[in-house]
Amino acid sequence: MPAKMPWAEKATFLVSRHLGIDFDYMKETVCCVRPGVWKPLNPDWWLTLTSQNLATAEKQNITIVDSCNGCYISHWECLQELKEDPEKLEMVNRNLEKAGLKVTLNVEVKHFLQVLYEDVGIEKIKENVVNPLNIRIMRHIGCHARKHDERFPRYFDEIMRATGAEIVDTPYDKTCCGLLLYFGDPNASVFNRIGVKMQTAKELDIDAYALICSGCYDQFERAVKIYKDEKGIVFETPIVHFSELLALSFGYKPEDFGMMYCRPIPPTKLMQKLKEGK
Amino acid sequence: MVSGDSEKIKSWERLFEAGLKVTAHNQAEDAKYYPLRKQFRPPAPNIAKASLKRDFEVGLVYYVGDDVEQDRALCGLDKKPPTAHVFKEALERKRKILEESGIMKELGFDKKKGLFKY
Amino acid sequence: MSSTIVPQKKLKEPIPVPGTKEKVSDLVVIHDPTKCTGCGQCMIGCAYKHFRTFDRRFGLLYVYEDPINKGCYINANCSHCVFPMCLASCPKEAIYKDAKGIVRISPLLCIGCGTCNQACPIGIPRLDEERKVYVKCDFCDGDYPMCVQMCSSNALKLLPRKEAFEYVKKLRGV
Repeated sequence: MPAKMPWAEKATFLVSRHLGIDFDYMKETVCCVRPGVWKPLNPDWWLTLTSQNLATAEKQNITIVDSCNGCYISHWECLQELKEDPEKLEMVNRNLEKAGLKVTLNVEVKHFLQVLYEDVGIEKIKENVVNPLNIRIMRHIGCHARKHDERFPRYFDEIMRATGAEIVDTPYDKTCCGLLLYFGDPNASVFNRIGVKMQTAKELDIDAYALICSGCYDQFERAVKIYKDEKGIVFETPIVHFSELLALSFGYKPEDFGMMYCRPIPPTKLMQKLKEGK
Repeated sequence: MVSGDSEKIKSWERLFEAGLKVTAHNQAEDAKYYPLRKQFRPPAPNIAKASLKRDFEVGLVYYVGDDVEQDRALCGLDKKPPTAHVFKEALERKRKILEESGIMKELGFDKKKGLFKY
Repeated sequence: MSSTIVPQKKLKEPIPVPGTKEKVSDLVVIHDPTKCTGCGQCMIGCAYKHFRTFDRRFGLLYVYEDPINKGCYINANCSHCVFPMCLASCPKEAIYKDAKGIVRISPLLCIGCGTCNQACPIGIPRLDEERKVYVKCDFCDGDYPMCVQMCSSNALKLLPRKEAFEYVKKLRGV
C-alpha cells in the first residue's frame, strides 16, 4: 500500500481517526511474505519469515490491523498454525532467536474491515456519513477475504451501502484478480480475470471499481497498463479503495488525501459526478 | 487449454529476463555447447527471482523510489513509510533470519554478488 | 452450508473396504464451486511441489472457468477411488495402490500409452512431456496436500470420505 496506493493509506488514516480509532503505523515492518510464493517454496520458511512481523508486533505491544487481504491472511494463518502446532512454534523460535526475536503468540491480527464493522459498528459509520455518495460501484473483495465464510464480503457490502453507493452485482464479482497467476500464466491472469472485469464495468457504465486489497490493486494497475500499452484498449473506470469512498462520504475533499495523484486511471469523471451531486 | 497462449505479454517477458539477469549460471547458454545436457529447474523459478531478490535486499517486495516519494508527499504522507525502508535494523534482522535458517543457501542466493547461483 | 473442517491434516490408516482386500485413503480433497474464485493458487502450489515451476499447467489438479456459467470455476481432482478404473485398465500394471490407500503411477513401469487417461471417468492422469510417462495426484505423499494449503478462499477442503460425500450431496442439492 505505501508504494502503490498512498491515497488509500492517507484515506485509511483519515477515516479511522474520524471514527475515533487509536490507529498508527506499525513500525519496523518487513514484507508479510506472500503465501502464494513462499508456501510452495517451503511452508516452514513462510512461517519463519511471517512470524518476524508477529514478533515485532508483540515487542511493540500492539494489535496488527491489515488493510491488505494478503497481509492479513498471511499473519492470521501463520498465527493460527503456530497456535495449533507447538513443534512449528519451536522451529520458528529457534530461527528467530538468532535475530533476537521471539514469538509468544500474545498478539492479535485483525482486518481493517473487521475493525470497522465489529469494533466501530455500522451504526456509527452511518451516523458519520454527511455526504451520501450517489454513485454506482462494482466490488472486488478478493479471494483471501473469502476465507472466513461470507463474513468479510457482507461487511464490505454493508459499509459501502452505508455510504450511499449502489453496488451492482455481476457474475465476475467473485473472480480473482489473478495476482499470483501472473507468474505462471500471465495471459489468463490479465485477459481472463481483469480483462473481463474491466470490460463488464465499461459495459455497465460503472462510476468506480471499489476494492479492499492492495495486492489486487497492484494487479489491476498492471493489467490496465498492459491493456493500454500493448493492446491500445483504454479503460476509464477508476479503481478506488473503499476507504476513499468512506472518506468522501464523511465530508473530506478529494484533495485531502490526494485522490488524483499516482493513478493509471484518473478519477476525473467520478469527482465531477460527486461535485454535481452536491 | 489456456486462452491466448500465443500472445506474449511484454512486461511479463521483461520480468522473466530480469530474473535471468540475476542468475549466475545461465543454462540456456550451456545448451549451445552441450545440447544433450538436460536442463533442470532451479529452486527459485526465474520469474520470481527479481522480486525475491528485492525482498532479500530491501526487506519488502515493493520498492519506494523517487517518484513514489513525490506522490506520497503530494498525498500528505511522510516520504518514506515506517517499514524496513526506514528502519534498517528490521532489514538486518530479516537478513539474519534468512541466512541462519538456511533459506538463502537453499535458494542459492549469493548476498555479496546479489546473484542466484542457478 | 456449514461444515466443520477436521483438524486432521495427514493421512491416517487407510480404511478397509468391506468384503474385499481393497483399502482406501481416509481423506479426500473436494472442491466447492460456490466459493472458488479461480485464483489458480492450488495448481501453482501443486506445480511447484512436483515440478518446481510456477506454471499452472504443470499442476496435477485442474481448475478452469466453467464454459457455460461464466465467472464460476469447476475442478477435477483425483479422489483415489475405491476401485480405480485407471488401475484396472493399465496394461503394464504400473498403477498400484500403496499402503496408505493412495493410487500411484510408477514412472519406471509406465510406458505412456494413455489408457489410464481414457479409463478415468474424469481423465485425471496426464502425460508428462519431459519424461513421457503419465502422472497423477499422489496426495503429496500423505502430507497436508499443497493445493488445500494454498487455497485462498477455502474452496478446497480436506474431508473424511463419508463427510465429503455428504458435503457434495448437499452442494448438488441431492
